[in-house]
Amino acid sequence: MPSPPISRLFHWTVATLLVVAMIELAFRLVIFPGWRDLHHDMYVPHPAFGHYTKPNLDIRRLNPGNWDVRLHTNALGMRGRNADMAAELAGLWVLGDSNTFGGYVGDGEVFTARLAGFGLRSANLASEGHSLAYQARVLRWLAAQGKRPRAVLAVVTIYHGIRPYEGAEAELQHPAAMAAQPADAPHAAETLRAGLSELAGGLPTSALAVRTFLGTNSAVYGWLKSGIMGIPALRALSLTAGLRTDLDLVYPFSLDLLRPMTEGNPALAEVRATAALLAGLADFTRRELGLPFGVLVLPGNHQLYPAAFAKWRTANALGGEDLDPLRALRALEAEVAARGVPALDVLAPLQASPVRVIFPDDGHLNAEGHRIVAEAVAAWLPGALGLERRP
Amino acid sequence: MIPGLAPVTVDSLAFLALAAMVVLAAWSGRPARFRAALAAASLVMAASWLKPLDALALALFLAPPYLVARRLWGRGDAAGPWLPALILWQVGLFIALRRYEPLDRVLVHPIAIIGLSYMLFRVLHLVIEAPLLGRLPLSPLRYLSYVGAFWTLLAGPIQRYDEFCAGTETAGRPSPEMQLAAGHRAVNGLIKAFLIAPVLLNASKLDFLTAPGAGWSDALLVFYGYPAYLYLNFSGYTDVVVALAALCGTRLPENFDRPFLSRNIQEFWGRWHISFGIWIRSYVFTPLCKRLLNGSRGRHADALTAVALLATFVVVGLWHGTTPGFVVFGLAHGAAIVLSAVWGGLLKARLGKAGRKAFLAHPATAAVATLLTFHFVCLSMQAFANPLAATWAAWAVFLAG
Repeated sequence: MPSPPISRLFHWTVATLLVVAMIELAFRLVIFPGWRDLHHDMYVPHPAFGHYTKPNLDIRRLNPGNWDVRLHTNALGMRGRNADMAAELAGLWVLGDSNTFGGYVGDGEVFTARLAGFGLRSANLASEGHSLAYQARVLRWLAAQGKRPRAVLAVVTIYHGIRPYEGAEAELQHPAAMAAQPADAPHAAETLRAGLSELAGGLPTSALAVRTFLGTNSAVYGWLKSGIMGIPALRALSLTAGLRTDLDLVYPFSLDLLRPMTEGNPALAEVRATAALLAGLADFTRRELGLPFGVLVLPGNHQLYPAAFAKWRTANALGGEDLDPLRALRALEAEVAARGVPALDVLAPLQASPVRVIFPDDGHLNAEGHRIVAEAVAAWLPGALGLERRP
Repeated sequence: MIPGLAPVTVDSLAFLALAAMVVLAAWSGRPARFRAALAAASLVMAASWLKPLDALALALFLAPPYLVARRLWGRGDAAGPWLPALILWQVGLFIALRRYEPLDRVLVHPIAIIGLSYMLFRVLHLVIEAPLLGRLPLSPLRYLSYVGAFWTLLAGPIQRYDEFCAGTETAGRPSPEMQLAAGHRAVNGLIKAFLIAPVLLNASKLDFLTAPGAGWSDALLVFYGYPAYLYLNFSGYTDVVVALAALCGTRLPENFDRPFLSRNIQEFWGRWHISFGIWIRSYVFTPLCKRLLNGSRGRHADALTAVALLATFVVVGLWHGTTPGFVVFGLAHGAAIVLSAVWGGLLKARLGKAGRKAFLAHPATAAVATLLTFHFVCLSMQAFANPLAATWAAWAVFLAG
């Protein structure tokens, strides 16, 4: 007796599942075992400052066509190795975000590690996704543990680093012992709500979400993607076909950051809040630790490459507006200087580079960018912060 | 341990591949093909978890029961000295491998065998019943497939050998309606166990009680969240494997029947981890009770039954975990059943048999009994989540404000 259609459908469904699963397993085990390096769960909740990079990491981070690096963290979760931790913590402390953490370049290529070559050991306190407010907690937490550096350098990436920072400056006035207390201890109800929200939004409903899902779950997709990215013609085709985001067209911020920084511009308040937090950090460092403090401002794609900014303007039909990608950067530098905090601008040396200084598919500094920043910082530190080089 | 392949879990791609392979083998209409596929899947599943030393220890754990079962197979009631010796060896080795406290300070080894507790149940069942199972086939492959079947390896349910053998003979393609129902149940199970349950687990961590500003909503989530997680995780897993077996035209025992609606703890154990409850009753409580009652020649029957019950629940607690907290869990449940029996006796003395029946059947009584039982279960399950001392300390901090 012939099987009913529904039964045949079931048969084919199970057979298809078997074939797909076997192909995927074959890719995971044999053809592309490196797919696990496409994504790593690198973070861990931290009682004092929200989340931080996992301690003692030793992983390969892979994004074919963009980077392929080995990454280590020390026992405290800071970029670097345990063997160097004590010396680094006794040197310059560098606060920052993903650009400073340098998760996209090798251990020795991060500008903080390169400073050692100039006789300036430094501890990289940055963590991906951290804002200045979180980094302020890292600084206070380390200070509360009794650790002491030679100086502190806070790195701000344009535009991510410019934020309202409500309450972060006041937090710096709290007693040092509070740095060890859970700052944002989550509650059960919030955790449940967050979990349910994540669950509700868990199904990939957009093309981007589907791609992200496949990127983290499929070796076949990772293999295809890496194959495409490795071939220049296909890589260019992927861009024109819309399979890859054009970095030049990425601007997830307010247009106010590009407009004239006059009193009516709400972006100016954010710039001032950022400068105020930096001044607060400087004050904390001088008052509590008796040490010098400086600021490093890192430009992004649109500041470094005017053509990229022009392309974005054209694509968004914003040619008629008075927009300038350097306004936020210049305003921040002016506000920081007005508060008596020394700041280093590395736009000029980065722009002078004959080769690209950021990755093609994201705005983070590449190895060349880190090299240039290291040189600039090493040249600036002795004069600005009085930090002598130690061989 | 298979290079490159992570240990196979029910929510993994490898499990999907194994399951699809076994289902297609079952649907081929050839029992031998199904048995071969089941054995192969079980081997891959076990190998993905076991390191070489684990595999060696497992061989030591599984070989003697097979040899004893082989010797006793179909010999009627004449078990002789082999059976008690084997049970002693098997339980002793189990304790050594699981490293119960405080033995863990002496027995230091790296061996960790996934599903060992469930294997213990299956092999003990097999050797105890071996004299009566002569009508069924027993071969090394069939034995290993039974003890380490890929769908019941991680967390049961505990299947009887005769049911397992019947399943391997009747495997085939079920009706479209049953396929649809099984598929539906498997998807529901995956959602329960791997999507909803983890959310509740994350929200029920003990740390929330001691966090600054913790309130009663946090306390309620910690208290109810973990039991809800346990139920959803375990019953969801069971749904997946029972549905998978149903897709193959075979049957695995059910493990859950709305346990949180139980009106007393005795009823709870008939609704929660049912296959485990049946095993414990068959191979621990009933023989122990019989022995005690026979030894006393019928005197102090109630007291001896209570002793047997408490001893049984100590075993229940110890099976669930290796720390003293699990003994407390078992004793609490045993004591609750004894108290429930005493309460039933008092009611009978006061209201008579019919009066007691009417009282217990009253909706208000049933509702109160269900609520009390549910809260007792939630309270006792706190022992599963954290060490007792930590649980006690966290609640003390919270209640002290």
